Amino acid sequence: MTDEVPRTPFSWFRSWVPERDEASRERARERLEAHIAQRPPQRRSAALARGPRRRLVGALAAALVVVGAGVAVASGFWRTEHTAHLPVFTPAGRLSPDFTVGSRASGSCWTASLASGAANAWRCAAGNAIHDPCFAAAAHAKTVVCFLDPWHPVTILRLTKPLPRHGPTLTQTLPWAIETTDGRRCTYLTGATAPMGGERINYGCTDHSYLIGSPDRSKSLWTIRSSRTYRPDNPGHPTPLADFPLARIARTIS
Amino acid sequence: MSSHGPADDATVIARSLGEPEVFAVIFERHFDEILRYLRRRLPAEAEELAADTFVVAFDCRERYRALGNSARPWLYGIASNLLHKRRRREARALRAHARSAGRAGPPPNEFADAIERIDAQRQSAALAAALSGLRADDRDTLLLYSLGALSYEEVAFALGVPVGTVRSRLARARRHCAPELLALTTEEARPHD
Repeated sequence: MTDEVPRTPFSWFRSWVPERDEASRERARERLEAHIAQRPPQRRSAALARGPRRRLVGALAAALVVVGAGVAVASGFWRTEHTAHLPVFTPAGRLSPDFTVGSRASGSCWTASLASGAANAWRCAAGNAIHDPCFAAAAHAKTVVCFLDPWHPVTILRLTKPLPRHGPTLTQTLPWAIETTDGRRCTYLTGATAPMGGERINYGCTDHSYLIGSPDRSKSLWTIRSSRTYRPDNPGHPTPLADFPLARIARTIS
Repeated sequence: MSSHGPADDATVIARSLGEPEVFAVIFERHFDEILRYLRRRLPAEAEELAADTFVVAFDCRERYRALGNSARPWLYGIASNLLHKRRRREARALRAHARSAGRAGPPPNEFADAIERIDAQRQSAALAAALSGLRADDRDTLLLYSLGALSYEEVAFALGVPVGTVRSRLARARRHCAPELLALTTEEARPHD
């Protein structure tokens, strides 16, 4: 308390509290680190598995990665993980057991899917309802599997007409859907999208965030740039792609 | 995120979604302030509440929405929610402090001299009495503004209420509290607080 600072009733609140309590801080830090390490267990890092001093070093190293030049990725913090790839069909052409059947209908497909760029994805109709995407296990399939999204039960559509003779022209190889390690569920965006970081916004996610560009498949755990907000590039002045945080891809669905 | 200089809190939190350890940055930046605030509110449980604040923040980081570059208002909001569950205990503690005329409050060696100490004890007791009579929401608003030094907008963000509600709560708190609080909760008084 100095003479220059007028006293107020709040002075009491402010004056007696220590400015920094290292013991409390350390206990709280350890608790937070333990909590982080448990969610989920496979995210537990080597840094968190070490002792208190090393944990602190690990956390600070993570901090340096984040507050630094913005180009480094803390990949060294992670034990090796693999991105899983979930196909709609088993090798035998059956629906993958990871999906459940919600309904069945009859209908036909007339053009390539607008929702997915996969080569075996179609846009189909059953009565007045349009289903898109609907995946076919083979060119001469008698049924297709139609999705609202990968996380809802599917509709099996029995085809009343053969699939169009010419397959979908959109043959990009991006997965139809992506699940990130932080729990985001993202599906491929068709049509024109604005660029971010000079790359196409390829996926929209359930939490209204976006995935930008293509997955980096150079490692077993794929990554992709992401943005929590919609921030299209200013014409002629794209934000460097490296400025967008990396999302880790837990699973792709295609 | 800029290519130069420290990343702002929103960027750090976004990155922590894929790299949870990175959330340590938020802890390092804000823990001391949140702990200080909670010690002023509920000293006996402040450490536990401060630790809880960051655990809850970590769990809720996917829903984080930035207000400016700092996560302070968001963290204060979480702390306030945690405090809200203990509002009766806080009110009891304030009343007890008011009855003690501040004797149980500041450690003597924190004050420059005995006269200042006596003044502070009287004032803190009066303040505690005034605060204990406030509605919990009004107390949260007043103390986030006065002790947390949040702006009206930040208080509104922290508590999830419109700015107009913050203004009306502060006005009600001013009417209720002792005259010395009036000077504390006006914009003009803030630089000296």
